Amino acid sequence: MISKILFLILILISTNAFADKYYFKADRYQPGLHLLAAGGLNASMYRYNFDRQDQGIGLNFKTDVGYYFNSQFAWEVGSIVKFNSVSEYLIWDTLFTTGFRYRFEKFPWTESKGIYVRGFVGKAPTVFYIHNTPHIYKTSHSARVQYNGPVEGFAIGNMYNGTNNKVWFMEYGVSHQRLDRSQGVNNDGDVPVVTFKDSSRRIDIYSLYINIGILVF
Amino acid sequence: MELRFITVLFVFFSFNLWANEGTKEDLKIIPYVPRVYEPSAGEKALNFGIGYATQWAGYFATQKKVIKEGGSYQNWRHNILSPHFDYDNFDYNIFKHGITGNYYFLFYRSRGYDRVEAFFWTFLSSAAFEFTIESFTERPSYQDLYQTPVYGTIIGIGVEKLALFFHGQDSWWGHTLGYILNPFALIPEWKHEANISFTPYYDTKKVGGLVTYDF
Repeated sequence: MISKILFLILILISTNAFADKYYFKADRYQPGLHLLAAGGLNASMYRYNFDRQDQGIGLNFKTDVGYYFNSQFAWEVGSIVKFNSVSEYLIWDTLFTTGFRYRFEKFPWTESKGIYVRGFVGKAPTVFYIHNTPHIYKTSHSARVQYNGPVEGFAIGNMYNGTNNKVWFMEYGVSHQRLDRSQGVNNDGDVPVVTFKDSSRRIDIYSLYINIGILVF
Repeated sequence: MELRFITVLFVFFSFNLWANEGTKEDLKIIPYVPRVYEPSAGEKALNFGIGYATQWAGYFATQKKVIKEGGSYQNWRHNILSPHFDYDNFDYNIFKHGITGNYYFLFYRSRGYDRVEAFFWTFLSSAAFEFTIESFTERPSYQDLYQTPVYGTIIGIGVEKLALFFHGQDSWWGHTLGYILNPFALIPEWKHEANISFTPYYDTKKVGGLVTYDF
């Protein structure tokens, strides 16, 4: 409950301050509120505690709402939505995270002042669409199974100044999800109905990402 | 499927045309560019109130059955303090909430807010819906709290740009498409010049009026 309240408060704080009236640059962050969006690819490995392991490659879409304290440091609330087609099922997971961003003024091996790192933690509701061949969920009688659990990750990226004060970036990231609570879900019309709950199955998901994105504002 | 496709198109469009809000110079030469100014506190309260009333009306109009079956004041009291991760499909959580957030964003843009402020008020409107309206029937959702304003803003920026592109064609079909994409542009104050007029008409037998709208 405390983590939920904290999550909400952090979102509220993050949206309560507006950006100053000068441009955001890759090598000089503009203090205030900013939104970044990116798309890319991920490679994920799924390790189950019931003798099964899968790998998959898929698409992802990420957004970060950040409050930038100064030209180097920001606090962010973000999400990474991943879609992976693995074996007989489609996996849709959303990593809701909060964390910090730090831009290096100097970084070894390069002259770039746009290199930054991000660390994040959060929750990752993850949905398995099990179609018609749910051989690992034979008894569930559910259209999908939703897992939940914590996630933590790390990313490194480089920002670039484009034309007309536009800023874009490329980012590489890793994350680990520990999913240990599952619910079967069916839809009654538009309303999702939970068909079972289970805490005995655990899945660890290790993911690598590459994202290319822009500063939206 | 079409909805998802259209949403993805808008997102890509917004990627391609990000930044560059309407400037004073734009306002002189390009019609249909949103007029950005600093609304007063009273105007902000009124705009939020209009949006909030519309949310209530929309909720009752579209969720009548669900409210009748499972809505109650007891639910509301319990739900507002217990947000959770919902079990909705991605159609709902990503696409439909993104499209809804896009309308919040475009509404606030039409009232003179810049992008950051429009995003902030989109977030407030979305949170008000989750915590004080929808909580009659279900618990507030963390996914919706984040995704509605964030995806809505991204889609909204794309839609706004696309609508401006169509208006820029300066043809009847261009304006029609522009207004379909961004119907809030029909609100008279949205444009920098008056574009709506009313001419009263009366004689000894008849009373009437003529409303004109300049596309």
